[in-house]
Amino acid sequence: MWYTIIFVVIVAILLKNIFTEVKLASVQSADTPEVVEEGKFTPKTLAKYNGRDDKRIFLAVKGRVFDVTAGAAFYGPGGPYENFSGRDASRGLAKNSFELDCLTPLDKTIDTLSDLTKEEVESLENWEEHFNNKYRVVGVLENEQPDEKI
Amino acid sequence: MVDSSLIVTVIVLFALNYLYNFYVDASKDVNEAYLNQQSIIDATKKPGESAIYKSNKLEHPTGLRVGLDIRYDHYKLRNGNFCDLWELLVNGNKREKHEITVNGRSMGVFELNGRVGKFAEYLQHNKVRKVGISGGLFMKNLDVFIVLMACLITQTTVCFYKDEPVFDDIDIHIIKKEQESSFSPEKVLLVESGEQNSVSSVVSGAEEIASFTNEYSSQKDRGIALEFATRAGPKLLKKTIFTQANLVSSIASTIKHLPLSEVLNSNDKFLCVLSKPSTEEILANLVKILACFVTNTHINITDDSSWHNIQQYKPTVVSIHERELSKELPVGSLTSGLGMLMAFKFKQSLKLLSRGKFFTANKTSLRLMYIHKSITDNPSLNSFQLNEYRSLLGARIISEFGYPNLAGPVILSDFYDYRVFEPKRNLLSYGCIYQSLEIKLVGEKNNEGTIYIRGYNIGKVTTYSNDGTPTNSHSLKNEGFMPLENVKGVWGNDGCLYVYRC
Repeated sequence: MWYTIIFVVIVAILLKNIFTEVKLASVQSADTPEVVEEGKFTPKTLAKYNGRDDKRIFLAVKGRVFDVTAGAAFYGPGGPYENFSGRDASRGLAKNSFELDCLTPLDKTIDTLSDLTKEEVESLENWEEHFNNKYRVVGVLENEQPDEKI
Repeated sequence: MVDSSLIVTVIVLFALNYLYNFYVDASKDVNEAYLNQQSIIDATKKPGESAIYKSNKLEHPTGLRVGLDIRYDHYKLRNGNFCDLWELLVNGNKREKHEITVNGRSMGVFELNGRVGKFAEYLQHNKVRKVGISGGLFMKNLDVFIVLMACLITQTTVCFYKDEPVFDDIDIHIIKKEQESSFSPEKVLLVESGEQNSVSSVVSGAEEIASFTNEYSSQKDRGIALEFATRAGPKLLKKTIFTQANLVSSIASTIKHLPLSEVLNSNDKFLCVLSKPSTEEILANLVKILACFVTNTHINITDDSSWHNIQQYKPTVVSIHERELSKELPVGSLTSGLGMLMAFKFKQSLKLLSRGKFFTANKTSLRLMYIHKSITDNPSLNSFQLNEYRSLLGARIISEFGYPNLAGPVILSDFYDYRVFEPKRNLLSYGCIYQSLEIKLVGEKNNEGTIYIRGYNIGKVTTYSNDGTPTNSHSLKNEGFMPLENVKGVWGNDGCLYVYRC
């Protein structure tokens, strides 16, 4: 007797589950910790915006960070300037060189560019103007503060 | 001792249940990830603000939907203008004859083309720069349709006003016979009248013309297309202007919102149901009518929102205000009298819809409904009720949420979004972002903030004192972002914007 009742209840639950249950969607308010607050980048926080680790592509020129995602063909993976993405590109642009030697290691302080020649400074200013005209500034590049180090 | 056949039966039932659920999940219209990522989110944000969100349907994540991308000079692209839209309509009619029906009166596109051309000549000959139409007359009859189209292709501004014009800069008023006494006779053209000073007399003698010459010049992209003049207070007048670019951007966004396989086409019969003549409604309807020019869709316009009348048109696509739908066609009227089998199918469809599979109890010619309302209005229908309509009408539903000075909505629901949410207090609207716009929240606290929008379909608002002196206009502060008043927004983790009352 009891088995029959249990059986009927289970069948009823299953049938209800199969045919009438409406699924409620659950949406929570967005928590987007990966969004970087404009204005503050360090060489390390900038590094991931290289088109590979993050689809956005940022690079820094003379202390200012530009969003060059629109120029992904040049600065993105496989592009001729891909070494500059996520990095301080100032020295490379000044010397018109794509060599990795022109990039400051991430754990070093930002390149002061004090040793550039007059021609190199002029070249860098031309590049800066090009970026100003074409891309959006999303922040500045600053050295990592001691208390930010892990 | 438990009977072993009972145990086997229960196991079989559990297995069937599992397999059935597995089948439903595997045969959803779209992957769950699609509905959970409905925005592109900028990688950076300003302090105290959210990141900027855009539609994820945009081909280029850095730009917004600007226009129709018409190719010219072999490789260049341009946004398009009203002449292009009219040309598309006329050329589409060469392939398949169309009629446009306005409140029961139909006319072939070639015949309309002849009349529009004749009225355009009249406008140019009389150097008319601005035509005034009472908002209540919007698309009420073919005369108004002809006037509106002629104005759009000649870049003559059309000024809509509520009851009477609030600015004295209109060259010609399009009115009904009974309004004649309120206007200066030499500035008036009557609609639905055979008198000498009527639209009919201007276009009389027009013949069918099967072509429309449209040589492109950048000049054709310019001009104020529409103007909405209202009284904002006892001593304040408000003017909202929309350029061609505003409307073209919105038309492109409307077309591109639909999945490629579901885009409006020449087999569709679009029915535009007019109701309250507000700025939002006029623009919501006009944008869809003009989008049908591009897709070569049959166009019907009616101001009778009764469901009996709508059915007579046998539409495949309907645009209607949410208020009208819930009033004219309550769900109860559709569910009453459902047989047992149908009622079972209906229940089943609600479950499948809530799980992302489009399955309906009924099948009709209708395949898509646009339901629009203001983003700030209380909703008449919740997500569960929308699924009831989907099931009973056999149609997909896109809910659009507009704002007075926008051509097209701010946010809208995805074609494949049939999710059901628990009803929330104060929730007014929710949806993904229109492709002409980008949105951010300012003054964000607990993920809530004031909604700021920026984009190509926003009209420019200027207020004037009674003597016509401008008192205020939206400036380009906040980098061109405009706040939405009386509401606050929350970003969902699905990329949708959820709008609450302040």
